[in-house]
Amino acid sequence: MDRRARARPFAASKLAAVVVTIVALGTADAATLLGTPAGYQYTTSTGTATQEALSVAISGFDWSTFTASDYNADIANHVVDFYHTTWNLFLTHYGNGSPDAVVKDYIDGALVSPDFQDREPQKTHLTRQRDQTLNTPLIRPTNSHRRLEHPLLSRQRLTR
Amino acid sequence: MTEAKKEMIEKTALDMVTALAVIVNAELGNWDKAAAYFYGAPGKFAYTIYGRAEKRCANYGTCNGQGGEASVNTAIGQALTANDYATVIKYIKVLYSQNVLWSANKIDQNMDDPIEIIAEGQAFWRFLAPWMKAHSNDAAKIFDRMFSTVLNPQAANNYNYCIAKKHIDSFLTSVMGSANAAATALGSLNEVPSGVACPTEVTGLITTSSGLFTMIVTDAGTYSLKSATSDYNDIGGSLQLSEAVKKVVDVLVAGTDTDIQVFASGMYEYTSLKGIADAADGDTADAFETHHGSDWISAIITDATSSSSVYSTAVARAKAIEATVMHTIATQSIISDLEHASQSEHSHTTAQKNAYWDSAAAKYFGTTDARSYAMYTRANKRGANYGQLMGTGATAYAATNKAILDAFNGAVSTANANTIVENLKVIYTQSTLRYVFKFNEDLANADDWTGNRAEAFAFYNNIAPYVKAADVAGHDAIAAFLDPTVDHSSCNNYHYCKTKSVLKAYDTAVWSSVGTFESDDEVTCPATLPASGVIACSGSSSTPSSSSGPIAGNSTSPPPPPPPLILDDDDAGERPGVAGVFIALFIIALVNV
Repeated sequence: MDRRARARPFAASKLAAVVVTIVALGTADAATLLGTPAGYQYTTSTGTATQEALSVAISGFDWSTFTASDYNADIANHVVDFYHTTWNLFLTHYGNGSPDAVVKDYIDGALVSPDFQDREPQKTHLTRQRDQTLNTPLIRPTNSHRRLEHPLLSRQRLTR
Repeated sequence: MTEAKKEMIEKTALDMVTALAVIVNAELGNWDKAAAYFYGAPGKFAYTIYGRAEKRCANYGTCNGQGGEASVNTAIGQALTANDYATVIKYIKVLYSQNVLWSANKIDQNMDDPIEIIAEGQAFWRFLAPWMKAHSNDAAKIFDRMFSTVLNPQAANNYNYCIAKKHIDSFLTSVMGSANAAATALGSLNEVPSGVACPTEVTGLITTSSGLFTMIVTDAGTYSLKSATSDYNDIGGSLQLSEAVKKVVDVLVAGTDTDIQVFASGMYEYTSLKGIADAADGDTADAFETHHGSDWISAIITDATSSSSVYSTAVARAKAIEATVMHTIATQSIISDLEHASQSEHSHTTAQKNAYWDSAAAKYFGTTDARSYAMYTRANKRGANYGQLMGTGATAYAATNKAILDAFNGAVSTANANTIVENLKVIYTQSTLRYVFKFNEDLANADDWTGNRAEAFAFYNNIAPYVKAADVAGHDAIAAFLDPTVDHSSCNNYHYCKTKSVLKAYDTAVWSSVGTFESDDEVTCPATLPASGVIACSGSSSTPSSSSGPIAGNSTSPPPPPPPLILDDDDAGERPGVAGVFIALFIIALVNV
């Protein structure tokens, strides 16, 4: 018997098994991504759990208590993979190449800034919210202006 | 954490990071990863830019993609399937153009408390900025200024929406390949109030033909912007204050109840005038609020527009609205800007001080087209009334304008800010006295005096705290007879003489610049005036009956026929006065003879 002839059924079955395995693996990774139920649907062929995790993380944040640790734990790992043309455009625009300037520094700035005080407590002092700024040096105590009379008004001793 | 900060962080984490993740992976050919960032995990699309697009399509009428999803979302989904990177990024730019324009309009509509909106808009804008800057550096500067959290926002006459629309349209035209494709992709923002009509660009009403303003040319001279070379050199929103005033005055031109209700139906809000009025901050704004009450400017507008207004007549209501909108809002806003620019307590950078200084100047001088509705022109009119004009003919200008222009062109300093404010006081001292005179003149002629009194009231509001600080009794007397909600029974020029006496003394430096009132020789005031009441009342005053609301007091005089309304404070149509009537009768008699 031709050894090749005897071997053929085995080789065919092996190949078929491999194909089945590949298809099975492919089927396991295939998923449908969509937004609204009736909207357009995108079918994946690879696993995307890592990327989907960003939306899961964002959905779980309480922005009132968001911290730098939250950023480091759930967002930084996505940003660190950014590169190529558009990312370089953003790096040039915001940070002369510093990768943190586009996202991290901005979030950090908002987190640590004493800016945007609650409006109502200030209104009681007749100080307006818009005067607050992002820059720490620009912030004044809410009642500091009371010590500095307007030059035109001081001599007239306007009663507050 | 404040709502504003939360907006900045959320919109950066959700929008900036997700959008960049989609684009970066699409650029690299990682289509599944890009799609996963775009759609998110099952049931989590609301926390991706897909969800953002669903919100915006409801605002722009663009939920016409597959199954009613945002057209942007369908386009991006199809492009991801087709491995079409260019289309993915194209429609992400459309989405953030929608976001930025949406935020710009919200600033206009919420000028009294916009910081949360600005913070959110800034986060959106940061994503669009690199591309917009490449498209138009001027546009990038405009949006940087618009969404600045270190400068007070500027808005009037829907400037932010209109200027944003101009640049978004241009940007998207380049992105989509044609204006029609851009318009279709963007949609129409349904939150823009009805009645908003952006100026056409051909006339250069919101920018110059060559771009951002770098100077303001007037008859008194040219103001060169301090911040022309900085990042904050867009004064368009401040210039538009004069255009917003023009829009209001044009509506109130006949001074009827109907006109007032047109104004009251939302114009005060959607032109941002209410927001500007309520948002003025700083020491002077605080002092005026202490004097007049919280949000006092809008309170006047509310009183004057209310269907049950206690203001005496429709004419009085229209005049009070017009003069308050034209003068008081501008004055308070200008002084607030000057304080930001010149007072150390604000601790602004030089660029920020320059931006505030420029904003003050822009509000004072206004646009070329609407300058007659800016304070600059009022000052010229008063200069003419008081013999204080410089130059000749149609290009003559008030001495106050020359002083103010020189101060603006000088250093950004407390001294120059004081000079400007002192001259504003001169203008409103002149205006108050003149309109009290006209008020008395109306009484003598048995005309409807309520309109001129309402204007005098509105003018006096701009100096009342200063007057009261110097002379409480004098202020109380003036405030009493200028109160538009009460009747009075005075005559014989008591009001004029009392006002002149008080204004003459409250600030001698101001009075020395007032000049001589053109009708000064028509009234001889006694050396000593009573604290209140009359000088020597030999006749009875005429009091028109209220057409729309109650008047306190017991007026029994029959109402005179309604006179032609002179709304433009331009004095061109003054009524003839007693002397004129006599002359007319004399001529008629001669003709008959």
